[in-house]
Amino acid sequence: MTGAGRIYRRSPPSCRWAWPLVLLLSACGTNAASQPRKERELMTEFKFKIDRDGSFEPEAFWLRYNNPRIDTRGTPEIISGVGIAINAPREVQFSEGTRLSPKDAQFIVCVATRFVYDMMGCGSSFMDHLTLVVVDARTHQEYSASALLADNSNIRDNLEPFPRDMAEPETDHTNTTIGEFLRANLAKMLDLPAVETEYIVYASLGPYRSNTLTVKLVRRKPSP
Amino acid sequence: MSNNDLSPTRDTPAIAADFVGVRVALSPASAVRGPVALVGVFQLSAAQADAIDQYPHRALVVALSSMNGTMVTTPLRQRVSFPDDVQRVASQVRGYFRIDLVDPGEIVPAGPFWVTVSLGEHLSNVVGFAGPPELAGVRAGLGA
Repeated sequence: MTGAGRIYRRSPPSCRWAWPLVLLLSACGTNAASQPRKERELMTEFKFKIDRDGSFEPEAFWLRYNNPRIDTRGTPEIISGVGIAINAPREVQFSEGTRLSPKDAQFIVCVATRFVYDMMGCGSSFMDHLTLVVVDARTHQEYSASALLADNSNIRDNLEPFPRDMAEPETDHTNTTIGEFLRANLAKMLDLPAVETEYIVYASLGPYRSNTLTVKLVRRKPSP
Repeated sequence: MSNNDLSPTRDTPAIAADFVGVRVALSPASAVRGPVALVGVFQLSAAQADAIDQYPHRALVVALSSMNGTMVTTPLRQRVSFPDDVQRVASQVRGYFRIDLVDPGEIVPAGPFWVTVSLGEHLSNVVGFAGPPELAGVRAGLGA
């Protein structure tokens, strides 16, 4: 008889007193390591950081400039949980015309989302279902635009379609967390009047809403 | 929209005395046919409310979402308003509202739909509703 066997056979009667303790530990121990990632992400409070005074300009190289779905410095940093966070400059300047022009006004909104794969039936493309909501704080005129309108790159359109006989992937993404970014110029997406005002901006996706931000539109002072 | 629409109903959510923001609830009598009404209450400091509008009801923005997108409307923006539409107690302003999402007798679309109300930077809780699943594909219209 091995030592291990001896311990096994002897331990049940001598450890009866410990079962309540074991049950208590397993109940209270939150066993985070064994808990599926999906459950953990859904249970965690949504936290994020934004820097409204940071730069909202895209980086200089081509891919980053042309693809609004790549992270930039103004993108919110999601720390925990699932949801949507947005960031925008405090002030946007414009100088000409009766309507905002994307060449003249950089009304940039950076969006970051984090969800678990296939939540709300979205698969891995949550940003395609997102809507940006803009409200003029003075006139209360509301505007909205699908995030799809922000896509100014042809990268997606130019992708070769997958071959039909391609094997189904075997990877289980059930518990994969999906993070997406978007950099949108609202002056391009919406027909906004070129007047000094304040806009309240937030994003909406199914039952989720982002934080709300106020962005001030001011007329650019002519250079002396 | 009558004056009664700016009064609390039995389904209007209760708020604490020191609550700041917007809270909403749905007032459905049936899951199949309307009316489906959005009932709510907002409470802000007098300074916050005055900064938004002399008549804050005009600034209420309803966002109705499905997985196909979000419809946004300001159903009370053009409403003729009066000072007694809101209650001013101490330094706080409180207002009630009732907005029909699905008109009486109309079939409730399958959905699911989620609704929020914003007032300035204040965003309400999210409430959801859905009609019978066999009516999938019927889109919701916002009754103003």
